[in-house]
Amino acid sequence: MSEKIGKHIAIYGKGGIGKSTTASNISAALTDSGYRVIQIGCDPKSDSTTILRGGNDLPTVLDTLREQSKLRIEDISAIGFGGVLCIEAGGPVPGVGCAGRGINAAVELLQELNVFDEFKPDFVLYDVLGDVVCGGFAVPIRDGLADRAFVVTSSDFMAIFAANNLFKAVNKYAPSGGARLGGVIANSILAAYAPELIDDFAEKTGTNVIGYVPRSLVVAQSELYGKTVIEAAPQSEQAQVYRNLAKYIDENEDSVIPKPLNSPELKKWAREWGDRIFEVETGVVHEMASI
Amino acid sequence: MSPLRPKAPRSREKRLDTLGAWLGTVSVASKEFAGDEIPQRIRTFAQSRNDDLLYALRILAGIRDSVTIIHGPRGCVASSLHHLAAGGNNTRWVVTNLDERDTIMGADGKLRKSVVAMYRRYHPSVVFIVGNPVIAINNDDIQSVVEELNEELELPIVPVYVTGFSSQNAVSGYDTALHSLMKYLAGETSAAEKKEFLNLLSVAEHPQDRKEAQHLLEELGITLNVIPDDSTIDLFRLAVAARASIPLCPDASEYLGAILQQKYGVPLIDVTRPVGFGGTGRWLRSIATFLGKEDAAEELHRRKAVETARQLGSFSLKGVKVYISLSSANAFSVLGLVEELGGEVAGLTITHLDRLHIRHLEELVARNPSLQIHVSDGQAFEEISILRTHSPDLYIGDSTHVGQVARLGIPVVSLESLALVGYSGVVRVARRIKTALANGSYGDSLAKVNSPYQDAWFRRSHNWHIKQEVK
Repeated sequence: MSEKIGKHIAIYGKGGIGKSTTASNISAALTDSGYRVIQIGCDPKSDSTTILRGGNDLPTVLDTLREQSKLRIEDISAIGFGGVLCIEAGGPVPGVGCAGRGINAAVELLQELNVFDEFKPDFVLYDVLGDVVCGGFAVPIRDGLADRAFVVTSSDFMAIFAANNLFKAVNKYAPSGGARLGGVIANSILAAYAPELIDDFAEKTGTNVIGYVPRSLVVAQSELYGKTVIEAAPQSEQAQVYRNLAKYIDENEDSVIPKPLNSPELKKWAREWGDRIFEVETGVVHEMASI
Repeated sequence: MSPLRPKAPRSREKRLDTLGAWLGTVSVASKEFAGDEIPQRIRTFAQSRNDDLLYALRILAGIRDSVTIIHGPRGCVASSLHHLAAGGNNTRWVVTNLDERDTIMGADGKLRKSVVAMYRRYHPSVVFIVGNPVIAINNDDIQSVVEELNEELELPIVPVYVTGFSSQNAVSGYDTALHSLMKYLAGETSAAEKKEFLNLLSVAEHPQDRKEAQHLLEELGITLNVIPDDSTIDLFRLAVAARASIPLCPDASEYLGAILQQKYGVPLIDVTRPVGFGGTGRWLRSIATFLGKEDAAEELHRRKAVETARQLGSFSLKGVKVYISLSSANAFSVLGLVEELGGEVAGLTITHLDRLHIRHLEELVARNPSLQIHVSDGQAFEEISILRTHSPDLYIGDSTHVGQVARLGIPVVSLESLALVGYSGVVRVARRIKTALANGSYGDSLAKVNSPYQDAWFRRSHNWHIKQEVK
């Protein structure tokens, strides 16, 4: 059996948290460092690689599902910024069909097309939609696809809650060959307490934060231009943040099986943080509090 | 990428351009398959259709000392009755009986319990877990059960990922089952040393056909390892050390032979089915040439020629127009048999048509280019319409349609439970045909019953419901 080609990374996180933006910028940073990168959007919205492709259209893998005759990689991909191979799995329109089955079928089709053998990537990023509501969306972290998964979260409780749930999925599949957790990516960092909150959550669940991405106008502006920060503002501080993330993923192979908190533990943890934030507002000083 | 890395092989349509619906002459078929791109056909109406799940189960049914767990709702196990009837029933059937809650919450817990319970009760040497449409859609997790229990119970657990909808041609189900059998049982590497036996690839064959083939090869002093029919998992492991593989049906066993050759370096002796006098001789000769036993094979063939001629006596199908409706490989080889007996073939209905049949098409183009080929798996309505036009003197098929055909007043022969392989197969078929032609009164009585089809259908062209697929 041939060795898997390239390092396969899956990116998960609450819907709207910034996965696609983060993934696209990491891909751009990796390609900028000279690596061959494939980014595969696993979301029926098909919007994962938009900012790598200047907003141009791209036929999805599932669009070509019924094509019996010789399908080529060029039919379902586009070369984006810096040579990143962009692929969108696609899926049904909202309210119809089964997107989870779609992800499974799309991944199978990519294997049939021998995409990895042909393109020979150094990195493959699977950007998976936020709400992992059924087995199909876990396909990238099971079936031996991704080696590591990273979960993107902000300091908002809803994002932490989602991250905790995603840890359950990783926890389930990792022992039988599924992806292990590479770490947490802290996104949209604005409030002063945010990094520490996310750090604390990571520590309690047996993992760590691999990078902190500040909330930034540069990101919003670049996106409106249909570009990644690496392309639109390569000298900016924000670009360096993404480059550091890419560097971590490249140089670090650490991964763990996370220990998600159960419902009462999570509630208790949240309440405690609620109290700490209140104290920050009202100026209470504690020993060892490094806010 | 290794061919066994994915969960299941590609469908036959994708691998071999398999068509499940088609109507035309041999010469048109030959031209079409000479091209690179063969447009798929669809039916705008189909009377019945088999699916890959049924065919995959047929293979698993033949593995001894096994348990087959269908991980799905209870209806899916009903097909075990079909297999009991077909006579291939070594395995024990179980269904996990998924209910509504299971389909929503995931049922790998139930699956785990089933495997453990079956292991404790029967101590099989292998457990099969078979997919179906429900878990194909909800992506229920089978793989972690396979890996955990494989380690815990030290028991080979083989998942077969049939979906029931990934292929339009049921024959893909054979490939899916064989893929899993090889992937999980045959080991990673080809054998360091090839031994002095041949694999006899017997896929869903009549036991007597298998025995006949075995006897013939044993007469040439050849030792055989028969897989997958009526085999054990050890025989699968052994298969990678064979000197070569010989198929009983190059169609059904194509995927198995290809994997053994590509991944394990076991050469495949690619020759057509040993049916009919010439067909059997050709089959034996190919094997003999590979092993350097040409003289022994010629001697056997000569001896059998005398014997067969004696048994056939003066039987001849001269002047008899025969219509043949069988699985593709059988149909092409029985065509040869009928012609050997002096008969004329009026037309063929076969289950599927693909690149594996190009050699048959080329051979037929040379001597009978206007022979009509009808491709359908279960479309009696089209066959009946075709038969009304051709009015053959004899119909050779299997049990599915003979009843309806008999109602046209045409003498029928069903080869369903008849062993037709080898020299003795020729005689058996001849005897069955003789009986059918001897007395047509049963057919005449049946013909007095009205056809279930309306005249309006018969006025339409036979391929009215076969169209090219438009994307």
